[in-house]
Amino acid sequence: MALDTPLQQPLSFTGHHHLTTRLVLATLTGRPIRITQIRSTTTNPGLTRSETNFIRLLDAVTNGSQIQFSMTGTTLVYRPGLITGSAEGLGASGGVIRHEIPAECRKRGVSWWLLPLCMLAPFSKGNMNVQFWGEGCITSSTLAGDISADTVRTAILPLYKHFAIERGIELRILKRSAQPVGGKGAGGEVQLVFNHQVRLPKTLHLLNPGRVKKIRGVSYCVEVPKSNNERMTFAARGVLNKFVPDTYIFSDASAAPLIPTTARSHPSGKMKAAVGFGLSLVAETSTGVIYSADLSSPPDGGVPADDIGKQCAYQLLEKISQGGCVEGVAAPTVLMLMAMGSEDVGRVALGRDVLASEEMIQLARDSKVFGGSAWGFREAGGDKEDIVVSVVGRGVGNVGRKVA
Amino acid sequence: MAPTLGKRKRVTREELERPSRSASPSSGSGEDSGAEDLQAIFQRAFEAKFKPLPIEPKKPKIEETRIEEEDEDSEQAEAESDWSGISSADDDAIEVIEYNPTLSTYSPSETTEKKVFMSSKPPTSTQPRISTATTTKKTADPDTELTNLKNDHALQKLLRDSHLLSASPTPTLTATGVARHKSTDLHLQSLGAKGSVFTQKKMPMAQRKHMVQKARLGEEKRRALAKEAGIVLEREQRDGNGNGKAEREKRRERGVGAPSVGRFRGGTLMLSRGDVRSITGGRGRGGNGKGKGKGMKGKRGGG
Repeated sequence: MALDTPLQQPLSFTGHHHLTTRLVLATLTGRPIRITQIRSTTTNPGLTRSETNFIRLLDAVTNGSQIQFSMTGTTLVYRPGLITGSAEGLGASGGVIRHEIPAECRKRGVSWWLLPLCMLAPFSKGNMNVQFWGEGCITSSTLAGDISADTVRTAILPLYKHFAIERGIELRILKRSAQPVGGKGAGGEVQLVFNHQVRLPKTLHLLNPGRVKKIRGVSYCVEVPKSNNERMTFAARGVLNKFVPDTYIFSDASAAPLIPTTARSHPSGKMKAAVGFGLSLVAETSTGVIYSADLSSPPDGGVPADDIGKQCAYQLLEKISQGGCVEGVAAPTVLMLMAMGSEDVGRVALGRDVLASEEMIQLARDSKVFGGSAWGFREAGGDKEDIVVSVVGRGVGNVGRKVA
Repeated sequence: MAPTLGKRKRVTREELERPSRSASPSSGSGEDSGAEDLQAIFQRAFEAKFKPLPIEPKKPKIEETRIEEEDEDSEQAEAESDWSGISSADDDAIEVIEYNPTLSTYSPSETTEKKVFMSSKPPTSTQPRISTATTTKKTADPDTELTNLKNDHALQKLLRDSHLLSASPTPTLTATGVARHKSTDLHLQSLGAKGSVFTQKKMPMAQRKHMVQKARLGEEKRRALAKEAGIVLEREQRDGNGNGKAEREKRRERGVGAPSVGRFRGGTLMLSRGDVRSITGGRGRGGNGKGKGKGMKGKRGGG
């Protein structure tokens, strides 16, 4: 694709902010981008390890992408190729791409890779089946603000159903890992299976948030006593049961993955580092709108499980109070899919606090730069505080699925 | 920022009603009176179009007053009784509140719920259906399962013994006596016994030969008769006891380095007529005998 068309002039951006959304937009629209001044003024200039690792992942799931870095890593030129998914012969073995996240990327949770990959997956030519592993693969939520892999499965993936993308989607958490202590590795393992590719996602009209009718959750602990799960559950239910009696939090206890080490204190050559516990809560309303909350123990410990449970419940209540039909974590996914939809006006009601975030505003600007139409805003009217965002799709959709 | 997109805002019912509500003379300021006014408007409109509505007596208020009266009655009764009540010393007693969180009130659907939620797939919003039909089936299961198994077993046995039963002079459904022993023996053989219990191990050779021959002849006769009558019989069993017609002689064990043909005895190799014939390939067997003896060896026994 890139060869027979004349080289397009790349769109230019500056700074390291919103790198993944820009790269995803570039891949979906097929426009090359040039990002300059990536951390050019800091003492540690250029892309971080997790960012380069993400570009590596993009390279793995596409065919014909060209990536150029400058010597210092402060400038990046990306010419996207076709999203092929885990096609045989292009890095995949047995239909699965095994993507390693090295120990240097342990600041971010695995959801940082998962969410953009999920956005790309419906527009892939073939099936998407990627397995993340390695010492930087953290399945729990992190201090950097990444959600846990459980929340991705229970709160983000169900949203694709609104766009008529619902078959053959799985997120298997093969090995759990919490945030590791100090300089140790995590070693989690997560597999994303996304086998429903569409030509164009359906136009979304989501205006009525409804009332919260049930709350579900997963409390997980890695290599710590299971009583932590029970305490988190108890504390969270103590807060939430008053509002929604239909509250169930399921418990999952697992051992920490073994990490190879050369430390002399571990003569077996293996150690367990990613130890901790956390809670992922999901509230669902009568109209199928989802709010989620996520909290895990800090890597250094020192916070009792009861506090984690209680804070997570409060976080969920805060998310619900923000209102809207899409929460902040899921909003980029939903709006990106709306922008990639058919040439029709899709509408979604968002809470004011959700929409007023820097990330959302930058996404709106970026999608305009990439050739999308501007978003329309209006008050939801009535007694609601929400704002209805209207997005006209680009009508390009999946290039790989185009019927000739 | 941008012009408002989407459809025109729909005129809601509330907005339609607002002017009429303000125009109507509102007697009270509370919400209750407003609602009553609204109802009155609706009633007037309804009565204008259809016939007047029957006037309903206001029941709730009457009930309220009655309750109050009862309370007063009870109070009066209390006042009349000379019981002074509990002494005030009890007010200082420690109040014990037992907090009993009912956490594990698990419904039967909880396991299915857990399966749906904790599987690797994104959970669906629809409630998992609880099928009562399957549960009722399960309660009925163990009894019928057992009887079914028994019946099945009996039928299998009957099929297995059918030829023994039919052979007896008085056919019955259960094998008795010799037939029972034979049936047990057959069952054992089907389960993997090496041989029948009824075969005699030691007996004179001539007698054995005759037995085998007799059996073979009988079988051949049966087959011939069946063939004449056009009956298709079971396939011929070719076992090592000479029962099969085209039975092949097994190759004898020979010593290492010994010649593969003839008998070597006392330093001389004795070749029988058959051996010579197999080597030279004479007497009408033509081109077939040109090879070494190996291909013909099987035919020695048969011819």
